Amino acid sequence: MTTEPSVSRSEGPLDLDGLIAEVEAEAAERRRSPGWPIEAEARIAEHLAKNAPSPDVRPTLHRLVTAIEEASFITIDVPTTSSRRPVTLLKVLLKKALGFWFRFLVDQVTSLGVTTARTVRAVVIRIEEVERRLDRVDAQIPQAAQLPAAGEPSPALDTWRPELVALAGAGGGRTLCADLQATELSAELQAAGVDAYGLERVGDPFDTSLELRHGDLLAHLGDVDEDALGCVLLAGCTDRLDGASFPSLVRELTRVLRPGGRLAVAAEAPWSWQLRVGAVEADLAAARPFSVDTWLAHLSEAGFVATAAHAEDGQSYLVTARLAAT
Amino acid sequence: MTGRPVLQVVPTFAPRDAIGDHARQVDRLLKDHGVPTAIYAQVAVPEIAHLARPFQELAGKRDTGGVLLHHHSTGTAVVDQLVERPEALVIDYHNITPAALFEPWEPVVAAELAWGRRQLEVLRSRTHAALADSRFNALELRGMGWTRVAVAPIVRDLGRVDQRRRLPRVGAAPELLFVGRLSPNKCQHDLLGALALHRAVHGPGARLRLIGGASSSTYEKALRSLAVDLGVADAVSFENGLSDVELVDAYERASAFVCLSRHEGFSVPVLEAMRHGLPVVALAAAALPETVADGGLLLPRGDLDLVVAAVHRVTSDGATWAALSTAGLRRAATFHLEDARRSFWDALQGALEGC
Repeated sequence: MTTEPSVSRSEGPLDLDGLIAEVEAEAAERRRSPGWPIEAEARIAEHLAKNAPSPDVRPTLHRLVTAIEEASFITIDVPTTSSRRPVTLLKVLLKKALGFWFRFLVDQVTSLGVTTARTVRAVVIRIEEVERRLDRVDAQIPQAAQLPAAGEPSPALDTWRPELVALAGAGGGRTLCADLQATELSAELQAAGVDAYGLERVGDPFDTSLELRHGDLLAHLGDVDEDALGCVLLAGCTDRLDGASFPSLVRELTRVLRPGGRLAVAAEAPWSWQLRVGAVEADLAAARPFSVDTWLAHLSEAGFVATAAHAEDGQSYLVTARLAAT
Repeated sequence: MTGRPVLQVVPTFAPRDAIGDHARQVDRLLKDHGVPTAIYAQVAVPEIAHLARPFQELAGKRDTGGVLLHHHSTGTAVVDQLVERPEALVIDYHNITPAALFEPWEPVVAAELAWGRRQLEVLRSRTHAALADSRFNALELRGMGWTRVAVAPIVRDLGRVDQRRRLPRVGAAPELLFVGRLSPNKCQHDLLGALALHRAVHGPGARLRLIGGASSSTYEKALRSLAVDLGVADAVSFENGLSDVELVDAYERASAFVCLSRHEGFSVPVLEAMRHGLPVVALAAAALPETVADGGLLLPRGDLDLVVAAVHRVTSDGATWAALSTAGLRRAATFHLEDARRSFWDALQGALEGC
């Protein structure tokens, strides 16, 4: 397993990082200038959107079936033209002589195509039926839709931001800040000279920039090398945990943090979360914020020295921990 | 090496194709080391069909006693047969484009891509080891739970890197170049958007050459329509089937190679551009940071204003052009054929340990 790609880009006669910074500054300056073609930019965005395909692939599947059907009706009208007249005559002769045989083959090919198209159409229709049923199922469980979505801002981050920022960079290695508003927090840390990168659950899964990753926290930690990180800041992303994955999360944190590494968990208090989402939804939720005690118990067991602080309003808490040196 | 034959399996064997060319080089490498070898293809393009044997021939044999080296890049029925065979199996992973990028354009291709990823799960339990032609690809396999993964480079003859300094091709009418199939993951639509914005900001001189066949006819149609809508149809050329000489000429004439691909497992055209001293501007996505490294300008975001600013800087400032050209040449020189052959051979030997 490994961590970030370790391509050195600052060595050599060409300062690529400096060049990128200059280009970014130039782009920002041009955008601010009065001559910036706002209308042209808007028109480009409009046309890009207009030419993008519909996310609903069902019409495309029907077109696919139609294309199979159309392609099934192959022709026996063999081209006979040639630059040399004797060859043309020969081709015409062969076409006439073999016409009955071609028709025999064509009938079978067309039959195969039509049968295939009918089968594919049946599959498409079944898929549509399944999708319609799923839509109905989704509509019948509104309480699930009302639950806070992963990635929704948590009150914990704003409350504990100064403590999180102060802790960043501790532990002597790279700092990972996940999950809510990781873009903003990691950018703030980077600007302050901290070797930090962000991880957000939502976002472009194909964005593989080194400064901001997208994806599931546990999956990301699984890709990180042992002892690779000095500090992990978890703000809000732990507000939706389930009991099954919690031990794995603690185990992965223990693995990726180097000895002496620091961990901070800013989370909403369970009672506050329950009040916010409502008792019914909270009872039915598959995931929830965990209590301070759970964090402290598991972290201690895993070799961390952990302490906790509660917000004055009681709505959130901050757990800070140091991984004991081995 | 075990002394056993190493039989390559290439589902689609085509000329002027990264995997096809790589398989031919590997074939040569194995023969140079005295290893009995052959290429088996499910579909072989007639032009080079004589270099491969039909896969059915392999399927008809009970046990060749060799090692099968399967090149995996999409879903294929070949895998279903390979996993049932008795020979040791090694895959060379060239990455699979995320199906989501193809889904709205070509649902059939998307299904094949998704199938290809599912097949990786089957292959993982059956395969002795995996080779990956970039670190990015190796990371992806490790992320899926593969343990025996080694990075083995694409073996490709880029030709001698001509280190002579070029005169900067800068000016008010830059010619931007991208080489690669018209494919949603390669985001030629963003290139068209960038061209339109460049012309709106810096005048109507800029042109764009898109060289490569279409992976999706739907996407190609949309690109052509987009070019018309954006008013740049006259400034864009869609070209396909260029000869090697014509392609070299394209690299030599262009002002910059611009790549806004969202997903590349490696990207040979980027290397070719650098090998010709053509400055590269690329989006830092997927394996591109690894391929470009310090040989080109990597953009942290694909925002069109940033792309335009970068392209303008490279194609209007002679010093930047020259510095990037030199950086690219230096980077391309590290992809020497002999080095790639040696690295691939070492990785393959490691992969075959314990077979």
